[in-house]
Amino acid sequence: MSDHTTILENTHAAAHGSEGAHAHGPKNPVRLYTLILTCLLILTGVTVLVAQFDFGDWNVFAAMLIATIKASLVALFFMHLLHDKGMNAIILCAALLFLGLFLSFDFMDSSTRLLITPANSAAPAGSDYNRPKNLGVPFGGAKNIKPKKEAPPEVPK
Amino acid sequence: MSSISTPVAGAHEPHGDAAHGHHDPNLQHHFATKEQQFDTSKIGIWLFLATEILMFGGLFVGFAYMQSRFPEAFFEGHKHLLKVAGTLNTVVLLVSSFTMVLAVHYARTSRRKKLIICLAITMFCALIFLGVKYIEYTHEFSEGLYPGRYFSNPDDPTGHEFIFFSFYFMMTGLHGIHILAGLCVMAWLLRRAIRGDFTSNYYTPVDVVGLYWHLVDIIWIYLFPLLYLIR
Amino acid sequence: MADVISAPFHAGTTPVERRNYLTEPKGLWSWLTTVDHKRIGIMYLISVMAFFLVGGIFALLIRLSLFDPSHVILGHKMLDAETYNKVFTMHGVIMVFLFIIPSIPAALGNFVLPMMLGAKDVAFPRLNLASFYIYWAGAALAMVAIVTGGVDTGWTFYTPYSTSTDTSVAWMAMGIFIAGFSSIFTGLNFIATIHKLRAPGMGWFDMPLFCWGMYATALMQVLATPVLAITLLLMTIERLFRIGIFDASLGGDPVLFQHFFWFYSHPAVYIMIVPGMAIVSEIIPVFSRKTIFGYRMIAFSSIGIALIGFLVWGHHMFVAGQSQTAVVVFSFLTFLVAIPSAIKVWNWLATMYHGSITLETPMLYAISFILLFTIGGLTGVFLGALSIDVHLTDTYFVVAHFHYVMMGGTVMGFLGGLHYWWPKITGRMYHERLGQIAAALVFIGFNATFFPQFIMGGQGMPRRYYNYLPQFQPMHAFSTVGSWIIGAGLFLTLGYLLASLRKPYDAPDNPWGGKTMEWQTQSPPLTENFEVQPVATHGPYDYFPVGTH
Repeated sequence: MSDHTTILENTHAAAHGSEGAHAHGPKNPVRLYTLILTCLLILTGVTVLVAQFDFGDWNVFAAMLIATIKASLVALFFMHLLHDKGMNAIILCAALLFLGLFLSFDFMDSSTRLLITPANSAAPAGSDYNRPKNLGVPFGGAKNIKPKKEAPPEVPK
Repeated sequence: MSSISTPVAGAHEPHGDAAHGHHDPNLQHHFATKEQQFDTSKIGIWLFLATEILMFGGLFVGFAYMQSRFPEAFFEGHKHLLKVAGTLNTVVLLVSSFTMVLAVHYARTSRRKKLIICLAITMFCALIFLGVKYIEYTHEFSEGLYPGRYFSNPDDPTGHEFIFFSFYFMMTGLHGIHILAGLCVMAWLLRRAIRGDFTSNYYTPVDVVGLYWHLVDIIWIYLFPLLYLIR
Repeated sequence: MADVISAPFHAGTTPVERRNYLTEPKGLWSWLTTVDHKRIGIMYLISVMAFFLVGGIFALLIRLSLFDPSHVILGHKMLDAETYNKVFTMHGVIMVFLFIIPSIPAALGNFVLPMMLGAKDVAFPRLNLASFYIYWAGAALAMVAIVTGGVDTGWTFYTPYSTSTDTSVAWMAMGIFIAGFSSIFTGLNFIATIHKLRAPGMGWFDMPLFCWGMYATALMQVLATPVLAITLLLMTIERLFRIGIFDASLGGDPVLFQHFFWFYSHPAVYIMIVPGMAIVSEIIPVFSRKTIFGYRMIAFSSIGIALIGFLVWGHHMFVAGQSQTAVVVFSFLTFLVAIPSAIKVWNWLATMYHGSITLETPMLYAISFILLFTIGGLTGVFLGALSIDVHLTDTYFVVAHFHYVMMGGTVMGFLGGLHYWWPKITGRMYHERLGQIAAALVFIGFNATFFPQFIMGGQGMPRRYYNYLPQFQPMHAFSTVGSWIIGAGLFLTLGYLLASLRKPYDAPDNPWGGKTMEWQTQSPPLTENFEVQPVATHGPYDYFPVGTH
C-alpha cells in the first residue's frame, strides 16, 4: 500500500530532482567503506588461518560462518541494503530461503536413504562409494541405517 | 472490495514530462518520476541477482552433495590448487568491490574524475583476477587436472578426484564468465562516465552494475573457502 | 456507480477512424524493434500459437498411431518405435516449454497486465523485447535438435538415459536453457511492474485478480527457472565430460538429477496453471455480473500455491529411490496444495451463485476450466497419496491427470482469455455462435480423449509405451477419436478468429461490461494505452452488491 502513495506524492513533486536521494544514510561513506574493506581483508586472513586447524565436522561450519559474515558486510554496506528500501532485502532473503529449501530437502533425502554397499553397487571394487555421509547437516539418519557417531574417515594429511 | 477515493482525480498530467515544458532524456516515458524509475531499476536488478543466486546455488548444492559422498576425494583434490593464487584473488576482488562502491558514491555526488578513476581500478582488478585464474588453469592443465573424463592423475589415492575438479572448473568457470561479463559492462560504464553521462541527477547504471559486481564478489567469498581451504 | 475514468473518449468517432497501436508506427521493422508491450504480446501470441499447432500435430500423430496396437492404420504403418519415442518427446517439450509456459504470461499477460494496472508499459520495455528474441533463440536451438535427429528422452530428460542416448539431447537442452531466460525476464518485468507502476489510487488489493495470479507466477518464474538452467547445464556437461554428478557408475546420483529437475519443474506446472486460474478469476465475475466472492482469499491462494509449490517436488519421485522419510514428508506437503486450489474453486462457484450468468464463449471456457481442473486437481490428490501412487505411477492415469490440469486447465484458461480479450487486442468481435460451438467441441473432445486414459491407467496401461495389450484397444481408439474432435474445435477457432481480422474494427471499447482498467480505453488501444493517466476510484469488480438489485 505504501508504493502507490509514493507515486501519488511524487507525481508532482520533483519530477526532475535527484533520484534516490533518500536511499543512502552514512555521512562520510568513504571512511565507512574503508572500514568495511579492512574488516573484509582481516576476515579473509582469519579464514585462511582457521583452515590450518582441524576442527573435524566443524571445519565447514567455521568456513561458512566467516564467509557469511563477509557476505553480510558486503550486502549491508557495499550493496546499501542497510539503508535501502526493504523490498530489495526481501528479494535477497527470498532467494536465500528458497536456496536453503532446495539444499535441505535434498539432504533430507540423501541423509536418510538406505545404504548402497559396494557389494550391491556397480562401483569399482575398493572405491569409497558406499553411503552418503551426513556432512554434519541437522537431519539425522533413520535409526536402522547406520550406527551413530562413526569415526570420520582418516585422511592422510 | 473497498474502493479508494482519490482526492487528486483529474489532477494528473496527461504526459509526465510534456507538462514540464522540456524533455529529460533520462526519464523513460512510462515513468512519472525519476524516483519511481530509480526504485524500479533497483527492484529489477535485485530480482536478477536473486536468479543468479539460485543458479549458482544449484552448483553449490551439487558440490555439497558430492562432497558429502566423497570427502576424501575432495580433500585430496583441493591440495592441487594454488592456495596463494586463491587468496590473492580474494583480496583483489574485495578491493575491486571497494572501488566499485566508491565509484557509485562518486557518481552520486557528481565527481566525474574520481568516478572514472574508481571504475578503471575496478576493471584493472578484474583483469588481474582473470590473469591469476589463467595462471591457475594453466598450472592445473599441465598436471593433467581436467574436468570429467579428461582428468588424469595417476597418483589419485581416491579414484574420485575428477569429481572435485569437475566442480572446481564449473564453479570457477561460471564465476569467471560473470567476471568477464562484468568487465564488458564496466567498459560501457567507463565510456559513458568519460562522456559525462552520470551525475547526481542520473547514475542508475553505475548503481546497478555495482550491485551485480558485489554479488560476483560474494559468490567468490563462498567459493574461496569451499574450494581452496576445504578439509 | 460513477464512471471509473475521468478521461472522455472521442464519443463521436467510429472505431474505424481510431488511431491505435496496431497501425502506428507502420512497417514490419517497427514491429520487430518495438518496445510496446502490446506489440510484443502479439508477437508472442503468434509464436506460441505456432508452437501450439506444431505440438498439437505431434499429439494427433501419437494418438493416430496408438489407434491400434499394430500401429497400422488403413494399411499404412504409422510410427515406428523410435520415431514414436521422439514424437512424444517433441510433443512434451514443445507444449511445455514453448507453448504453455509463455502462453498466458508472455502473450496475454504482456498485453493486458500493464493496462489493467493503468500503466503505459511494463517496467523494462527493452528487456521485454529481449525476452521475446531470447525465446526465439531457444526455440531455434530446439528446432536444430529436431532437425538433427530429434530427442527421445521424454520432456523430463531423466538421467542416465539422457546422458547416454545418442540423440540430440545437448541441442535441445541448450534450447530450453536459453528459452528459460526469456521466462525469467518476463517474470522479473511483471514483478517490477506490479510493484511500481500501478495507477494512482490502486493499492495492492485494488488490483484485478489477474495481476495477483501473474505476480504469483512471476515469483515462481524468477525463483525456480534459474535452477532449471543449471540443471540442464549440468546434464549437458555430464553428457560431454562425464563429470560424475548424475552417473551412478561414476559415484554420482541419478536421483539428484530428479531433485534438480523437479525443483524447477514442479513450480513450473504451477507457472502453467496459476495464470489459467488468474484468467478464470477475471471472466467469472464479468459474466456473472457480480462482485468476486472472497477477493483476498483468491489473491492469497495464488501466492499460497506459489509458495507451497516449492515444497512438493519430491512427489514426482516416490518410486525413484528417495528415502522413506523424504517420501512421507513430500506426500504430506503435497496435500497442502489442495487447500489454496480448492479455495479458488469454491470462491468462483460462490461468485456465480445468484449471478446474472450469460454463456458467451469466454464463460464457457471458464466453466470448462472449473469442471476439468476439479477433476485434474482431485486426481492429483490421489497421486499424492503414497500407496496409490505406487500403483498408478507411470501409467496413463498420470498422463490423464496431467492433461486435465494442463490442457483442461491452462489451455481452457488461455482460450477463454483469448476470446475475452480478442476485441481489445484486435478491435474486432469474433463470431459468437461459432465460438460457442468450438468451445463445446473442445470440451467434449477433451473428455473423450483423456477420460478413458484414467480408466486405462487404473487398469495398468503404462505411459510412454509403444505397444499395448489388445484389451486396451477400444479405449485407445475412443481416445484417438476424441483427439480429432479437439482438433476440429481448435481449427474452427483458428478459422473464425482469423476471419474476424478481415472485418473493419467493430468492437466496442467494453463489449463484456468489465470493470477493470483495460476496458476503459479504446479498442484497440492507443500506443501508450490511455489518453490520460487513469486513476482507480473503485475496485475491479464493483458490480451491484448482492441483494441490492
